[in-house]
Amino acid sequence: MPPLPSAWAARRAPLELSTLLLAFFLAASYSSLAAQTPVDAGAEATGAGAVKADAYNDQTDPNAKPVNGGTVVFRFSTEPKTLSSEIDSSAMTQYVVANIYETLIERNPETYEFAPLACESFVWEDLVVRKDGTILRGNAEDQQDQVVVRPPKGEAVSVARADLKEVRKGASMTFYMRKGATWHDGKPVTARDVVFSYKAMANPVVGATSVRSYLTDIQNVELLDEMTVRYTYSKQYWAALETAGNLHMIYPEHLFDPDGLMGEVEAPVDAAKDKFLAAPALTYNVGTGITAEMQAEFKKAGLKTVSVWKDPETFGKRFNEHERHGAPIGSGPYRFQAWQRGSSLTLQRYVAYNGTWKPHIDKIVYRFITENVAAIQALKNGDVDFNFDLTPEQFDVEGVNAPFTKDHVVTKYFIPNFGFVAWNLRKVPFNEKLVRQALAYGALDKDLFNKEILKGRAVSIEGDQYCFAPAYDRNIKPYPFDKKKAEELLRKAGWIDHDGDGLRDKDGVPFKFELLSPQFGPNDPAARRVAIIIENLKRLGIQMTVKMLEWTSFTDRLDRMDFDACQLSWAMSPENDPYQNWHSSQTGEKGSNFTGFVNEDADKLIEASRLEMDAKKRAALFIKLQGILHEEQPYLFMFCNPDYLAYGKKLRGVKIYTLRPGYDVRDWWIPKELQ
Amino acid sequence: MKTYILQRLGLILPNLIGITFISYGIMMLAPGDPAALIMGTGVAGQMGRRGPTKEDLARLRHEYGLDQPWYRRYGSWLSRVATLDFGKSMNPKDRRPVWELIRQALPITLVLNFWSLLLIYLVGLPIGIYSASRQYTWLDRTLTIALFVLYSLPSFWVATNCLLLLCGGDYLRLFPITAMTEQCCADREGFGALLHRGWHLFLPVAVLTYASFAFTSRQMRVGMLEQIRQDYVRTSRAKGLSERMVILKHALRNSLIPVVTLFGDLLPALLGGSVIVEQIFSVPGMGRLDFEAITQKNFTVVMGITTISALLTLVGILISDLLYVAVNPKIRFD
Repeated sequence: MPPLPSAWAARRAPLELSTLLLAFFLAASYSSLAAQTPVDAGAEATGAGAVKADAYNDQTDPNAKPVNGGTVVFRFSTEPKTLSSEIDSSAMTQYVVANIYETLIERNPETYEFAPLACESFVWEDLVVRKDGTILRGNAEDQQDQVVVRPPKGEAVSVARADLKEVRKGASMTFYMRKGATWHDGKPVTARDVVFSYKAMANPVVGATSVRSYLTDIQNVELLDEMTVRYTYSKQYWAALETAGNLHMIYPEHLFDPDGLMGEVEAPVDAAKDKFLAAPALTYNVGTGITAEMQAEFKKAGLKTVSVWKDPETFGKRFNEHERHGAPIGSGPYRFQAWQRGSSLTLQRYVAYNGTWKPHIDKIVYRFITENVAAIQALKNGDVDFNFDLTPEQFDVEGVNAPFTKDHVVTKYFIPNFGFVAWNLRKVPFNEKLVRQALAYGALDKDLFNKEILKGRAVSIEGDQYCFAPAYDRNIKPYPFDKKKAEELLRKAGWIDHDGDGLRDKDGVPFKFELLSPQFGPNDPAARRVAIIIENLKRLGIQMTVKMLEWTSFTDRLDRMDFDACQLSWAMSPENDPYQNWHSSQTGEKGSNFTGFVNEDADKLIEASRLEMDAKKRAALFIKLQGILHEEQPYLFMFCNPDYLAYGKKLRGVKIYTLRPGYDVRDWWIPKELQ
Repeated sequence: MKTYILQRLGLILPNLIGITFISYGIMMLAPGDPAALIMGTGVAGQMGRRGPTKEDLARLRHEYGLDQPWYRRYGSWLSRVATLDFGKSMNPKDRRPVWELIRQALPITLVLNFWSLLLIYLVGLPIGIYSASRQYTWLDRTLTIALFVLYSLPSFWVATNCLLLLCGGDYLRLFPITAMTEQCCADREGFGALLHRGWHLFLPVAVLTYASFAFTSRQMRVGMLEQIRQDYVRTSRAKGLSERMVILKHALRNSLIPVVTLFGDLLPALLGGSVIVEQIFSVPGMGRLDFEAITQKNFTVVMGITTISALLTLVGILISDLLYVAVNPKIRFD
């Protein structure tokens, strides 16, 4: 056997190396151009509020009326694995599927509030449980010795405190389905489909793992009539509306479960082990798997039978591999037309769509172009109309490329994210607040970095909420970059260079640590940031080394809490529940609180915020928490980084939002003469 | 001859089992839990997103048999493969059978590799013969230098520059940016469609090919030079044969042996995709399928591809051994 010809062997070189080198080469070839600064047409996003359409398109006619028709071609860098956003939770899949299927409600990208989508209207109510077990729904108002419940219709009822078992604010949601809405095969969309979809997602055999853990607090999902469905929560939680109505898509029952495998059957308690409750029993929620202990409890309570799902096992297996995930039939504004694997995916406007927000564009094509250079070429050739995945280098170059900007809008946009350096608070020296504060003073001149390296495009942040959202604390005074102050704090904490080796030490331990990081390229701003931090810390008498790890090894180290410091960025919801990240109960293995942050005041604030249903009051609690985080510095907060997009100016009505994905096709239209 | 072929065929099976066993072992030894790996992607990095629960992981591990000892897993895999069933992809996002994934990725890779290998031999061998017969002339030197320059150019750099300079944008628009043709090919027929397909394939094939000219031509040149100095060549020249006859009839056949050895790699090379070229020209081929499967520790897919390549390699080696007989009558397998 001769050795493999080297050229063939070289073809199997690892991908990362190639892209890394590629970035290097490209940057080198671009460097002469980059001497100019691009006209930053970027959205100066201000968060919630009305967004101006076509803000950067100089070819628009302000008097023109939107017309239907035309095709828009998107560039996708990766291909969805399957068209079910619960099974494949990647961003690309979500972007495609959001046009085909609907959720019950959606977040309006201008107001940040929830609006009906598959439903026509919804009622979000409080739940009042009397001691005798009867339930009242409506607006519960606390009064001195009683609770007054005001249902939407009918008379108010007062419940004396003595009769009251519990009040769960916002634990009841009733959705009234949109009349006349149809699946793309013509069958009507009903509340039955909603109940079915909930059951499918709650079924543990179904591969919707990222969704299911949010459903555990749902006590019951009931069909009130053909067009009405009601969710009841067993706990009070402010994000309940979002998890009930916006977490997963609604799937057509008639296609995914024609045999009624997720239907209810009565099973004798003795034979119910490992089956799943189809209706709440005793204190257990719908969807709970029945254990031996539960069987005993049921028997003790005198139950003969319980209502369970018929055959979730078979259903789950079928659902996971269902051919409809390759050619879905949904109820959204676009219907699936074709998917040429590896090449493109095409959607067609669903003419019978009767939602309130109707699209104008007739056809959406997603073209899978893996290479960024090819993608920009496709845009220039007119093969692609919209690319939301420009690299920062491309933004720099194409933003000042006059022939390109003549017909294309190039701009930055934000989706909820922020970057940070996290300290492991379990370890010396990061267990001391003074040290962490000193690092905040001395590690990085964020303003200068943003101005010089990031060209002023990022938003420097000081808290854990999305910087454009109402719950972000805009009044926090950032730690200024101040070497003297940092030195003073380190001295105060006892970190002094006793042995004169240039490194500060305390109790014989020198100030050395390792920063873990996911891999980044040599041109990545993260690389320069790390280099600057190393230099700044050296001047403070601190030695930092960097260790880059491939993503899974990186998260593995975090899960095991085996690190000194790490850098990372979060993608997040516009309103973030701080529980996972900061509550002391989440410091264990696999918890998101990997810094090991434990603070009694913070715990209290977080617990209170979880129960606070009023968004304004909740924002106030979040802001208080950000104050504590700022003082305690478990994270060194960095930046909210923009993404970059470019699109052909033939597209009109384009609005750049501050919520994912940053745009909405339903806004867009193309003038007749350009279609 | 017949017994020899039968013997060799008989050896293929234990060889193949050995190869799969070692490959399986290497996959097993690599760190990381496949189930956690598969489920973790797309979830981590999302603030407050809840990762898979212990129960979910256990369920997946059970479903894929990861809770069983490795030898039992290997055994059941082997017995399934014996019935030509490579199982289903171990990615919960895409559970299609391995066969289907390969069938989807293979055609485009086959086409690309077929043309590039054909060109490599069609161009490389004549260049080798030519430079051997004109050793140390300025033409030989120029060709050598040119081929080594080509050989040294990294393919991703060439491919990217092709994209930048020849595929529209601010420069020439001679070629399309992707190797795939579905969008624009539907309405063409016959020769037009073929031509159009060729137009799409031109750049990727060129990038796959150019660096290998040096290799094949050098192999050919060395083989040829060795023969040219042999006595029988001098004899045939002395008996007055034309130089053309001497080189192409007498010397060529004997000098083909090193090249024929390379044929053993041809079959598996047809199947293997280039990750770099596929990435740059948006080709959904075997390279990306294999690479992605490896990074995700997708056992069934990796093992499926490995088994097929191993089988093709073994068959290829057998074929090249048999070809020796064809090119060199001195070799006998009796």
